[in-house]
Amino acid sequence: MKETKRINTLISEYFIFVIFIALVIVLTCLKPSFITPGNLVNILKQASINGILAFGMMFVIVAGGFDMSVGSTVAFTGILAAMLGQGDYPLIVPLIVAMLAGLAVGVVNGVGVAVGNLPPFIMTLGTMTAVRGLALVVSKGKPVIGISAEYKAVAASSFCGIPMLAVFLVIIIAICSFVLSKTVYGRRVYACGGNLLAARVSGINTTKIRISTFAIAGLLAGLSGFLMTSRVTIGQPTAAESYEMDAITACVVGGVSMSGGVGKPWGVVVGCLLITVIANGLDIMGVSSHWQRIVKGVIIVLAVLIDIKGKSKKN
Amino acid sequence: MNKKKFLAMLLTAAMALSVLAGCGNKETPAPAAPAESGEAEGAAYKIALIQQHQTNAFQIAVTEAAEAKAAELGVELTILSADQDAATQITQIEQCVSEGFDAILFEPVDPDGLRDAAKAASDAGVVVINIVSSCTDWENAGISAVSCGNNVKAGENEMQHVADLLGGKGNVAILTGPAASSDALDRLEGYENILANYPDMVQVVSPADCQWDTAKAQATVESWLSAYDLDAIVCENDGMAVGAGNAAGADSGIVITGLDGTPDGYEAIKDGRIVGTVAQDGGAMAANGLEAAVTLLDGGSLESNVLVTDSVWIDASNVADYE
Repeated sequence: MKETKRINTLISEYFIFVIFIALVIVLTCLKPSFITPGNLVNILKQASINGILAFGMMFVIVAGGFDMSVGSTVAFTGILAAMLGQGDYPLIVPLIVAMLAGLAVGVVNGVGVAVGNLPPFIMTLGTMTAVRGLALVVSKGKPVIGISAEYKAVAASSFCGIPMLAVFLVIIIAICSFVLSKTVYGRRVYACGGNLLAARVSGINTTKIRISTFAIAGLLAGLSGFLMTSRVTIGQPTAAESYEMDAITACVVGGVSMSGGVGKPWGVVVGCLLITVIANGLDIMGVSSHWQRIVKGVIIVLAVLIDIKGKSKKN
Repeated sequence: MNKKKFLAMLLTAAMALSVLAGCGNKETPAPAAPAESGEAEGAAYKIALIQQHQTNAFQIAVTEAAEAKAAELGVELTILSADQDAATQITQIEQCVSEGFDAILFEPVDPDGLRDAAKAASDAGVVVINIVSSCTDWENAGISAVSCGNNVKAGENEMQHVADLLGGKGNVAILTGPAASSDALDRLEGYENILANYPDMVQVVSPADCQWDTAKAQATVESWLSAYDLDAIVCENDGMAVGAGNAAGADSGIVITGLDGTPDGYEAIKDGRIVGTVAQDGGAMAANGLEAAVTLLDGGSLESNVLVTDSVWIDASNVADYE
């Protein structure tokens, strides 16, 4: 009896991983070209930007928050990076400026939520709209073209056969996983999301922690904006529409609880790979993108359903 | 629950504010039909241009050309953006009527939803002209003229060049805009009209809806290229063509084409990522529309009330002329 219970919790814990493996096997059987090295590289490239955003989002959600503004921030910082990446400055300049701009948006979000006591949804809805406007104002509504060859090479080049974008993702995953699971700060982030009041009473500066999670999400959105511009070779004010939703999806599918306090980094990695593989696999099979949305929607709901079931069993 | 209430209140307040702000301007009672009054000669006409949105290079070209033409004709031009929202555009039209504008040029956000507002404006004596695209059955909606390109013809132009470049034979894939948009549907119709003449040009995958977005197009084409042998990728706008070009790489041998003629497309033509594009001249549409408005206000008549701006094929040989 105890044994089956243990297996059940194990399955519900790693369910998303099982789904992922099953999906890969099914896609490989249906379309052998899915598993070719070239396509695996594609999947890594396509997962990178969403993966980086998802990790920023994970900090916010684990601390009990929610960030709608990352998509707009990617577009805004992408435009700044495109404007500064025309070859007049060394590449580090657009990178730093994009990340600082993202950080600034994040800090504004954090202060609004943690100090101003605004619901995260409202606060970031506001910045989402305003920052998109800022992107349009800065670019005057036009795509920014003419980025330098070195800048284009950032996303296009690869390191030992692994695309640079994926290298960035792996570095971010390593840092974020370490910070979340092995540092005092990381444990405090979980504590804030688990029970804010208890965390405050036990002496954690919850205001600082919550601001910092939004700041991290903003910083990573800035990095994504820099990489995004390099990948598509133009800065577009309308780019990255609804990327926040993809990042949230990756988190939720990966087992990060929307009520905060719960979530494992590897889950987010699998969640992110899962949505990328769905899109890539359906593209390869020539399935219309309208169906892809339906599949994505069903998977989100299923994943959360299993998440809730798993929790109620424990109780 | 509390959050919901708060959001609802916030939205209500925002709406109320925007309505109030709109009403703040001085209102003139029903404007006299300008064509009848003889004093129109000296005074500058007040003309409003309501764009669908101002968030891409095409729309900015419309804005700039309209401003230039207005200065040339000596009319007082006010430019508004409906931000892709039909309700906003209806309010703006009503507002322009009550403020006594002589003519209203607009690109309908929705071909059906804007008909009543246009009719009401023309009944109040305002000259109403559609630019870029037109309302459904526009002649009966009080609209005096339409200055537009033809998306079906532009699509035909693009696909015809692809067919010529491929020698009428090969595997073709199509990237489209959102299926709900009439621009996307018309362009696709144009593609299919041409493909019908070339039985050896095969669509190996169904058209993918990449929402006019470069990054989405890039991901889709990367995936396709690992599974299909494509000779041509035909895209309904330049942004998606650039994405396809990034996925395939420069001088890939795949015929990648766009439509619209925007700066990102020109850049990609120059470095060989895409082969060519079909330019819709938004600026000319706006300028022709303004000219028509002034002609009608002066009491003249138009040779034809449909002013079609032709699309042009742009490739490496003539891209320098269009930047």
